[in-house]
Amino acid sequence: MKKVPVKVLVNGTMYERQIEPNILLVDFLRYEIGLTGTKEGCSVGVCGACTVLVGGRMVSSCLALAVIADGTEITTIEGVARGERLSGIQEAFIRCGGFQCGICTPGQVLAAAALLRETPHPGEAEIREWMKGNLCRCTGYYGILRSIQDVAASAAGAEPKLNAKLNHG
Amino acid sequence: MEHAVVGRNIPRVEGPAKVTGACLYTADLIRRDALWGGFVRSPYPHARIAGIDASRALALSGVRAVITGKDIPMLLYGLAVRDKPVLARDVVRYVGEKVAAVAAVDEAALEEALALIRVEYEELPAVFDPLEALRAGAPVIHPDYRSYEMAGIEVRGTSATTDIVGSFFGPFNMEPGRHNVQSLWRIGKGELEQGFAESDHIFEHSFSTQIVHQAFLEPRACVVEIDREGRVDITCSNQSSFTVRKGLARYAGIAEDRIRVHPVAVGGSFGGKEGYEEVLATYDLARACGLPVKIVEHYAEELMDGEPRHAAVVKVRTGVKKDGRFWAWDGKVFYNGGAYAARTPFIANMNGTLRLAGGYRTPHVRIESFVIYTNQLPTGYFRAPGEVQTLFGVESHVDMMADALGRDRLELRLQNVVRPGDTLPSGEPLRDPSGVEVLERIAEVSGWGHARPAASRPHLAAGRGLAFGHRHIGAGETNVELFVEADGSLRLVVSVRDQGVGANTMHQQVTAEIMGTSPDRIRIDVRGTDGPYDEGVRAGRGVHIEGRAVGHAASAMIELLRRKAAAHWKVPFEDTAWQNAGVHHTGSAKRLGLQDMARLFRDEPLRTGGHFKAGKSDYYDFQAIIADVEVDQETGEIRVRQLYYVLDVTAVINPMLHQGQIEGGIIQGLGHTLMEQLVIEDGRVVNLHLGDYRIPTMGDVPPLSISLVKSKEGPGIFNAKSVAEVGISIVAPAIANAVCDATGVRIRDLPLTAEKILNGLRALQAR
Repeated sequence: MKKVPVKVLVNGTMYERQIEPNILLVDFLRYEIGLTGTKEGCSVGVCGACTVLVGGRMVSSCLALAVIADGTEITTIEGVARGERLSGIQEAFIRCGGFQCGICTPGQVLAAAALLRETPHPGEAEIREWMKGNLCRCTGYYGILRSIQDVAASAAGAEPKLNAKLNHG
Repeated sequence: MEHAVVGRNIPRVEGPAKVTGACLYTADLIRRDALWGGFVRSPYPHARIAGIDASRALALSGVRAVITGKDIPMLLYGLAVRDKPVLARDVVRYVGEKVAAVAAVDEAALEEALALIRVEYEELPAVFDPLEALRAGAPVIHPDYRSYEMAGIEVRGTSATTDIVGSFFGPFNMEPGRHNVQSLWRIGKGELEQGFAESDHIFEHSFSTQIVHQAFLEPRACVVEIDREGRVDITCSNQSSFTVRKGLARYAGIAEDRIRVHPVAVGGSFGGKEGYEEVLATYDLARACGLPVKIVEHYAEELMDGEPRHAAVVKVRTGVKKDGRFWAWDGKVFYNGGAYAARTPFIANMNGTLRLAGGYRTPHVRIESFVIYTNQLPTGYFRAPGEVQTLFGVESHVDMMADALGRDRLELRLQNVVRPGDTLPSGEPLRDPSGVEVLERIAEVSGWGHARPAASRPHLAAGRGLAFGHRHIGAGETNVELFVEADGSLRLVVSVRDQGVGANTMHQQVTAEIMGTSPDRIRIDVRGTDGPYDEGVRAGRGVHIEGRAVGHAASAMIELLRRKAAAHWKVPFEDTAWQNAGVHHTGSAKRLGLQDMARLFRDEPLRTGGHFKAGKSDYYDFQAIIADVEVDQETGEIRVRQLYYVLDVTAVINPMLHQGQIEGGIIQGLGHTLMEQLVIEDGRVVNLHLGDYRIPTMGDVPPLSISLVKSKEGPGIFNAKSVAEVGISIVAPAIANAVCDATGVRIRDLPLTAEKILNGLRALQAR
């Protein structure tokens, strides 16, 4: 297959490559560039583990061809922290128990980041609706929901709770 | 007792790695020199292999090797019963069984090669239903079953079988005439027939449950490399480094010390990554090619050929005295083990068998548990193995009996729950049971007996359902090592795989608590087979097996440091004490902190080991759940409005980790109840991806109220009890009971679909 050129800004770094046109974006990011933080789970665009932000919008990279990323700006999980400084969402996930095995976590963090950029103070129903495309098998989702609510509350000016109230009832 | 560190929500040690994508899983290993591996799989549920022609695949320039059952060692693989060839030999016994393995330079070449391999099959009669498979005249799936070996639980090279209560039959000693039985287990106490004779009422019901998959988001993967000296390096998504090493050593006929299994994070397992067949096949490919080989299974392969939960038929028959006492209990469970027993560890039967008479004090009990060969995919362990199935039957049955007797459903359970001094239905001893307290607490927190919440709309019917259970605390063995580092910090070496439970953080807290240090002065050094021996993750062993070993290492370190300090000061050992993370000389101001001692004793390693091995404990967790549901009488859909969950606990090392286990288990139980099922037609799984195999999303999660009952005693470190496998087993009967309470429709097979409810409603209306 004849290779085609692709030029893409990933986490602020420009990459220019010649790639086969049928390579998936997830494989381009993981194997061509070496950013393995983006995971592949279901391979059919359902589980959200492969979520990246293309121009700020959530994309299932396991369903996207790498060539469509030509000329775009992509954020992967590796681009969320600022060097050693974790983002508010990342810190909230640690503080509030938003992960266990961690395989879905990159996708969850990016989806949450996209949500909070769109809706800085989402209600519970909005969070649930937005995050439906990011499956998790370990946490039962309660910890993820608490994490997002926590960072949304601290963005609203409230102090981040150090040991977030854990029970619903 | 107040703890300084234990009981706090210390953030997870692997937190920053996991939230930044830096944490590595097996597929993240990028080896540009590695070949891509994959499998050709059988399209038939039962067939003879007449021939395999790989010539067109081998002619492709990108293909490096094609191997089949004829090219690999003649050994049979199995975690308990060794009955499975790694690649099929002569016969295939389920759709998806691996028939050939291919290594190629890239994914494209691999896909092409897999499609070009021609396998000729002669179909054989197949059987899929476990009760059918038991009948005379059913196809015999394993004619040589009597020759199958059983791997015991091996301890450092010495074989030892589990202590099994009751009587157990594996294939090698199976009762005559049982040609398709993987294992048969009988347990009981008292005199069953006498018990029934003395009963005033007898109730008998059958239930069935479906095959479900763990649906961890990381499909299994492995990388195998053989270096020029013949040493093997393995990275794989598996629950136990040492089990993989031992298995490959046996398979390949090489010494264990020639094999290194490396630590790596696992993207969820829930019991479903005990097996390592694909590692063995990958080894064969690596050997054939002289290059490293990497296999990352496609998710469809995981659903087609993973280690899913056994489907089951559960039959319970209970004799009850007129005052409500359960007097005789006859339970039978028929687990569909699929085409091979190989993927089920320990005894190829399920601990869920032990729940088949519930947590009740029935004096006359007989339980019989069959795991049956059929031509479906082989099944294995999934969180609370066998128990989701049996408790669905038991706790639905108890509600049905309560209704027939005109008794309150919680009261009947309270009357019959095991109490201190009772034995379990198996006859096994029971220490400090909290069943009564758990039932009383759930009544209190849910307002049981008071008016339940009304339906929110006219076409909805509201109902409430209860289920109760108990869970053992598992067995196993582990070793850990503790070092004082040059800067006075501590390093705890463990070989326990991180598959999400948070064990590393717990161990950090336990060590910090005992040593009196801050947790951030303790580094957890996770190893593979280059670390101290660990048997593998399962059975809720974190606080029991692992926690106690960590406790030993920490206590031993305190003693070691006191001895060294005493020798250094030339004072008796008895005149030293450990206080404020250092050794004090009682009666003088002399003190050596950890940093002082690291400096002072820098020429000798300050190292201790901790070892712990135990069988199943006599302590049990007790749990109860109440589900408030609404059933849409027009569509049959169930909405869970609220869950109340009660668990008894002793010390909770890290409340956030503990709660995470409860929440995760309950939502998996919700999935089992409402939506999950591997749909199988003529032996073929038809829903082969995560969209069609539906698991709960954040949109499906109901409000959950958790209440913890304080118990006094437990077997783990700081008396802790386990939590990893609770929750999941009692959701289904609670919801089924709630649906019945709401509508009068009793559904006795999982999952509870809208269609079944509508059919039930129509049947009721027809009467």
